[in-house]
Amino acid sequence: MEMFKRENGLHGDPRLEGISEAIRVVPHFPIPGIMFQDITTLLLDHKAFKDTVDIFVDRYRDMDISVVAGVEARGFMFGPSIALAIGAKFVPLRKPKKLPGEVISEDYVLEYGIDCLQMHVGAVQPGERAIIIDDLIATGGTLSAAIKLLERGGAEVIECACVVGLPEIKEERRLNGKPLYILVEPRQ
Amino acid sequence: MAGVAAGGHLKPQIQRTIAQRCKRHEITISAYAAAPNSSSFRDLNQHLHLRKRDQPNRGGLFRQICHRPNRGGLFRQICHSAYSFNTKAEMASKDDKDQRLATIASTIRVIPDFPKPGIIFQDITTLLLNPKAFKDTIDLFVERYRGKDISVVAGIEARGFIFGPPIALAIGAKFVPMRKPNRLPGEVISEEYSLEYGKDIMEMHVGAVQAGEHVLVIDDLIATGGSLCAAIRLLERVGAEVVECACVIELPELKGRDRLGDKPLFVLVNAA
Repeated sequence: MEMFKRENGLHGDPRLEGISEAIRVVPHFPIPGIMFQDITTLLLDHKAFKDTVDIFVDRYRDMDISVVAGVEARGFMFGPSIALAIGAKFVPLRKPKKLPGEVISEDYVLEYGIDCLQMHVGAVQPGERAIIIDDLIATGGTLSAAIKLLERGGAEVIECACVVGLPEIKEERRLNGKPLYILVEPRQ
Repeated sequence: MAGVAAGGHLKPQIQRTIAQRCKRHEITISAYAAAPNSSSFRDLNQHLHLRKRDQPNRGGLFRQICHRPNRGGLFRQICHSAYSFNTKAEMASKDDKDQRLATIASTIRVIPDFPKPGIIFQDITTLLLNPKAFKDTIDLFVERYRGKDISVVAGIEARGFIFGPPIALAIGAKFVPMRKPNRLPGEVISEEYSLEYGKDIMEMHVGAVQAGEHVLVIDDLIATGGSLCAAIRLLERVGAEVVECACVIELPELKGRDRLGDKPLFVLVNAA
C-alpha cells in the first residue's frame, strides 16, 4: 500500500484506507487458490465508492481525456461516473457478440485458452486521448487487449487505471509501455 | 411516482386527497403548486395550469372549476379525464426537460436484425458517446429520485451497470449489481426467469440489501419485463421494498409495464 501511495502521489491520502477496507476478500473463487478481491462491497459503501471515483476524477480531469473505456463488466461500474465527471465519452469494451454494431476484435490469452474483447467501430476517433478502467489488474492480459483495440481505433492510451492491482504487475507499473495507476493492493 | 412531494406546501389533507385520486384513476401529476401559502384549491388555481395531454394549455379552466361548489366532485371529474397539472415554473422547466429527452432519443442508435433477424435493437452505446446526452440521462433520473429516501440502486447486468452507479452516487445510495450466474463471488440468492426461448438465472449477493430498504431497479431497456421481474423478486425475498423501476427505453408493444404489476415504471424514451 505504501509503495502505491508514494508512486501515485497519494501518500497520506486518508481515503485509501477506507477504500481498501471496503473491498471483501473471497477465498477460492473462482477456483481454489485464488483470493478474489470483491469490489461489490466497495459499491455498498457510498463514501468509499465516491472517494474511489473522486480520486480518479481528480487525476484525469485536467489531462484532456476525451475517452474513458471500461472493460466489461466491472469496468462499467467505475468508468461511466469518471467519464461523466470529466466530460468524456464512455466506451464499453465487451465480450464477443454483445455489441450490436460493427466491431473490431482483439484476442488475448487466458491461463487456459483464449478470450476476445471487442469495441464498436467509430467509438473513438484518431487522435483522441483515452484512459482504460477496470476494477482489477492481474496478469494484464485483458488490459493489453484493451490497449490494442483503442490504438487500432487511432486513439492514444494515456493510462490504465484500476482500483486493485496484484503484486506481479505492481513491480512493472507499466503495461505495453503504458503507465498504470492503481489505488490499492489486494488484501489476504 | 406522483409528484406529491413537490406540493409540500399543501395541507396534508389536500395532499392525501390528491394522492388517493391519482392512484385510483392512474393520473399522472407532473407537479403541484409550490405556492407558499397554498391551502385550498382556490389558492392553487392561481398557480396551476390545467393542460390536457397533447392539447394546448387551458389554464383558467381550473380556476373556473375551483370557484364552483362541490370541488371534490369536480376534482373527481378532472381526474377521470387525462389532465395533468403543471405549475407555471414547471411549464418552463418542462420545455427544458423535453429538449433533453429529444436529445437523448436522437442519440440512441437503432440496429436491425440484432441479435437475430426481426429484432430491432436499441443501442445505447451511441448515447454514451455523447457526454451531454449521457449527463442529461443521469440528471433526469437523479432529479426524480434525489431526496426520496432511496438507499439502494440495483442495476441489471450489464448495461444497468452503466447507468446505475452514477445515479447511486448522486443520490447517496448503495449500488447493487444483479448478475448472471457464477459471476458474484460471495454467497448469493438466485431467481430463475423466462426468456423468449428458455430460461435464465439472476443472482444477488446475500447481505447486499437489508429488509426495509427502499430500492430503485435500473436497466437500459425494458422489453418483456422478465429481467426486471426477476430483480424485483430477488429484492423482495430479502424484505426490501422496490419503489420503482427505471429504464432509459421502453418497448411498449411488449407490455413489460403490465408484467411489473403494481410496481411503477419510469422511462425516458419510448421506442416503437
